[in-house]
Amino acid sequence: MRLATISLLALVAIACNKEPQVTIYCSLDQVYSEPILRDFEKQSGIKVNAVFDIEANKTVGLVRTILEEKSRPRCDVFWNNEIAQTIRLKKAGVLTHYNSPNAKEIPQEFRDPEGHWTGFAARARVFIVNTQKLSPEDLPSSLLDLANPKWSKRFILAKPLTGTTLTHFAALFATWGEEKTKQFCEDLLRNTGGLANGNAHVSKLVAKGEFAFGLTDTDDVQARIEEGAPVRAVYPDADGDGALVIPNTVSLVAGGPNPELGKKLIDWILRAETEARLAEGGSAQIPLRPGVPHPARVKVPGDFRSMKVDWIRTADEIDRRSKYFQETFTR
Amino acid sequence: MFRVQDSFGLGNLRVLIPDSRQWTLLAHSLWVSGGAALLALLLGLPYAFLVSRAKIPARGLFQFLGVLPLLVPPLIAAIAWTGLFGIQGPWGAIAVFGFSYFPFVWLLTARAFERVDRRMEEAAILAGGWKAAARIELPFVLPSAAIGALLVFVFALADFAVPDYLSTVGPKFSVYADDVFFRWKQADATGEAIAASIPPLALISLALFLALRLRLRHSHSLGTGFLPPQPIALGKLQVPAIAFLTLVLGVTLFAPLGRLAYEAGSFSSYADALREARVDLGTSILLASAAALLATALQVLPALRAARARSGLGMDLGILLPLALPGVLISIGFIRFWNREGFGFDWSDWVYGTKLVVLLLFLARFSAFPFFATAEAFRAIDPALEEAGATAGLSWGRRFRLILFPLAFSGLAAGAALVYLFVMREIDAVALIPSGNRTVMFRIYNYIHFGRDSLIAALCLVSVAFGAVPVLAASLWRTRKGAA
Repeated sequence: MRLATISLLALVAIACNKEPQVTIYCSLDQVYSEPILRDFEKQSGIKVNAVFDIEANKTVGLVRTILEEKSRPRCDVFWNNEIAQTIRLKKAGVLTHYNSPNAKEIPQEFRDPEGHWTGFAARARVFIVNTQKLSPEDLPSSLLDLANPKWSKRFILAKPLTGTTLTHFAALFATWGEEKTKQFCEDLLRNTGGLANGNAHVSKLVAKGEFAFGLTDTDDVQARIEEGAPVRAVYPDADGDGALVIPNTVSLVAGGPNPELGKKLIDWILRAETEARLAEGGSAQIPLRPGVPHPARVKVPGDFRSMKVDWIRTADEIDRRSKYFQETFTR
Repeated sequence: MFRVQDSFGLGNLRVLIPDSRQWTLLAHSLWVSGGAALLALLLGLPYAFLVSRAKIPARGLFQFLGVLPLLVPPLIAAIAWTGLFGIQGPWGAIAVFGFSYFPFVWLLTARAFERVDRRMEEAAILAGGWKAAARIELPFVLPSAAIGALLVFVFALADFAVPDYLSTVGPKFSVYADDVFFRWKQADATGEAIAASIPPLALISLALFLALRLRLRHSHSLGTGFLPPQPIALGKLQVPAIAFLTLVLGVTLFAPLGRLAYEAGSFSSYADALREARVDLGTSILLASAAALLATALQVLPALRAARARSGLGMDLGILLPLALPGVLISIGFIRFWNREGFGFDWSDWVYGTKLVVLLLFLARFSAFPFFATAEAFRAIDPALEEAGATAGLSWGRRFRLILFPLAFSGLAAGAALVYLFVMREIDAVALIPSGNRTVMFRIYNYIHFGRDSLIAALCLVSVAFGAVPVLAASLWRTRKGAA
């Protein structure tokens, strides 16, 4: 009983800590985002209460928490590791505008015209290829190869139900239109060797040689390369639509407890140094500003052809096609 | 609790209209959950007999190790098993759930085996040998085994992550929990998620109702003249028996932990894991300790009342249901209930924004363990003992302190240990609560998302080691008590 009381008092003591702080919900890998936030604490003297996301929620957990907290927001800043769910939050009215002075150099296509979100440090959707299974002369080169019987059962991708794969397939609906995309999905389903539950899983199965190649994100390819796996990235559709580039996004939450501190944190995150640091780190994120220093292993738009996407339509397609994806890819 | 402000209406019930998808969900869910319950029964029943009744060396060690599979979350076990043998599909899910939850069966069954009266058994053996003893004892023991199997069924039915993870290669098999998660992740479909939860909740409630009925029908006090049963010498069967116990532990515990140790690799992974997650580990231990002690303290009087009343099926079901509810629903309920003002008080600042909300959630979810363990312990005490105390003029408080508490202590300790153990591995129900963000299990699942295998494995093993502490303490206490 005495131990119970002490434990309770300790929890109440933690609860009563009323130091001013800014709260950020962050779905980028904690390992890469936390040091950036801790440096902000040191530099500004403002305490950061960072909340991260986990696999069990498939990266939509924080989005759902923000929506559930809509009547009494607890969060000031949302750092999303992709863009479509951020636009959905904007549509739901839970974000507010803030044009950070540090966002000026970021290309317009990665900034919301109304200032509700700003994109930075991106990942590209690429093929991860096992170099022991495929020779350089015989590589998949287009997303449409996923529907080509030549590659039947030799590749894997994640189910487009969450994360960047969902965003990617919604972008296809927005770009290709309904008929072409649905036909592509049907052909792909007949052709694929499996449907993984996440991109990291795809990259691991290809790294192990269970599949010749897979569709995933550049950070997952980099993770496997650093583990010493015989894999490389192939940027699809160099002669066509190009590879989809999905930026991180940062937004100010409407009605958050400390909006002014939230703006300071957004300014910090949107510095060129953050993009350089994320490019340098293990996830090899792609800087979107021109001129940000990055290692040679990180390719930036211009080094490869990037896909032109209407992000607003892509977010709409997520709402419209979620049930189609569920019914089609979980039969 | 589950007041839905913006999206719930009767229209959401259309998701329940029987169609091929609904029938598929039902068939898949029953297949996986039923299969897991059967597998757990096949492993747990003989395991319980051997560790509770047979004369075997290192019996206490087998009892201690037999609880530990509960400390490895099923998704981690699934990852380990996939790494070992590439298991996939519904049979893989059945194996993972069966292996992870078989301790429920053996723990409950062993308790029933230990409560066979020596004189009754000896009389049966004299009358018709071991066959006659088995005929008398099995009806006494099987209900406990069935309760354990029903708990396995319930936990497997509420799990979304394992069937999803094991559907990577080959055809996808969807289960009810999968359907609830899919609807939940859509921004405007909370009402549909709640409606989609109705069939699994009905199945869970039915299973729990059956388990509670069995428990009520077969519980009894031991009486003042109770003599514990004699250990049974196995003779030539001792070696196969030990081989069986070792095999079960090998499959359910050593194989997944061994795989994790292999994945963790060098000592540096453990050092990295501890450096990155020591605060999370400390928070988990603090929360688990506080929840275990508070839940147990708060359940003493309700358990005593339940033990004396010998009924109250509705109350039992009410306290057991939060344990089996899909975690997502509990999270949403807690956010909506605590993130607001009320009665002139800002609950969001003082409760929702602090670790207090996490503690309350754990108390709500896991109070069933101390409630049932303590009620069972109180129920086993012969009322004549308390009556004797009253006749001797002892106040109720002194009777409780001198008679009831010492005799029920093992039940209290078991309940507290289970709360500690389940808080250490809980993730689903706190996943959406920001204050629940800094626990060791949250950190592990964060690593899983980004494929950090060596750190996942190292941190899992560290977490299992810390989670095992109360189980080890309880085991040592039982061993010492047995020796005394």
